[in-house]
Amino acid sequence: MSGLFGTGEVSGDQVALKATHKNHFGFQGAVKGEETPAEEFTNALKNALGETNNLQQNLSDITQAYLTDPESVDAHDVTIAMSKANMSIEITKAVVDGALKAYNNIINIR
Amino acid sequence: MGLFTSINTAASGMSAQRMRLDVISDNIANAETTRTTEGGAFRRSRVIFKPEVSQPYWKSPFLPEKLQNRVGKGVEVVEIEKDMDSEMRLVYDPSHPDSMKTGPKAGYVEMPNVNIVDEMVDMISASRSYEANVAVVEGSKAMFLKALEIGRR
Amino acid sequence: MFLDNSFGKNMELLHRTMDANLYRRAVISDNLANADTPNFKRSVVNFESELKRALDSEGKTGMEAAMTDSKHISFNKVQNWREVTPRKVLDYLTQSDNNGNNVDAEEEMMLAMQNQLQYNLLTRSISNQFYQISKVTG
Repeated sequence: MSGLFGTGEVSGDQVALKATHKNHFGFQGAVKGEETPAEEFTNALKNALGETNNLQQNLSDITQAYLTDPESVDAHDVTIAMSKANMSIEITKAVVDGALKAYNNIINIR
Repeated sequence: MGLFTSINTAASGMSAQRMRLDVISDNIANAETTRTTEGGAFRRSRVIFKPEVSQPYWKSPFLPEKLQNRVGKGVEVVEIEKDMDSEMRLVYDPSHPDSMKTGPKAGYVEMPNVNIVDEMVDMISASRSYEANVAVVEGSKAMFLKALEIGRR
Repeated sequence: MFLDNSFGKNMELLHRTMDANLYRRAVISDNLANADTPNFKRSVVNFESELKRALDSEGKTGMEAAMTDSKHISFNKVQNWREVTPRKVLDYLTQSDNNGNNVDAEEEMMLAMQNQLQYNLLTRSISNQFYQISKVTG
């Protein structure tokens, strides 16, 4: 029951409902689920790395499927998977390089 | 479908057309043969084709009709049969060693039921089909090589 | 040095498949050269299906069958994919011509072309593996 009502806001016959989204009425302050910009960037980076890993794994699976049973896979499936994996590596590398450069710039501000 | 299904289908078509051409050339070569080992004059042969479809062994009553048919896998030659339907030619030539000696058709020679013009037309049709199959193979190969160009730096 | 993870394994698999592909090309050209020889039977090369069986057996966790004789057939046994080699097998089941020859020239030509296209794709795959490494190391 305490998950539904706000803590300590029961007075008589009136209860205050817990606001969990910024569009709810009576919303105040940060909510679990919304992050600070630092956390947003970290999560975006983690997602990009996870996506890269997924695409690499997908490429490895498709290549093995092609090696063991050439009739089951089309040619464009293999080459498109290769291009996707390459592209995600390049994008992630560009993002990481940009972040490192910005960090270095900030650290070295005199 | 796989990389090479269309190429295998076209290959089966080319094999079938080549066998048809073999039969036609056999017919033309034997257009005047009056004595065969079975007796009688030579009867022309023809090929019977059948589509090679990967049919399911039983049709599931629950699948909709549109999902039951699969794409065919080419053509195969069922049999090479003797043409028993058309009539043999009769040529009057009493001095021929194979002419009939007695009966109402005495003096007639039974010649094969090969019509050279028909066989030539068949041969042109077979070679055109062969060329069409070759074009299919070339197209598939070009598509494959184009697919290899994706993402090439 | 990379043989333990999937990168090294894929490179090794691609390399072996390319070797098997060249062997298959030699067998196909042998078939084509003997397209008119009486009583010649064509051969095929078996590699991919054995490789598939060896790779699928890596995850087997069931009870391994005890083989007390060399002629017993094993099941549930983990096979090493490094031991799979291409095998040339005589194909005596297809229909022969009148002179005992069962080589179909069109089919062999199509197989040769498929072989070449497959080799192209394998080359592309293996060069992509190296390209990825060079991309990451900048």
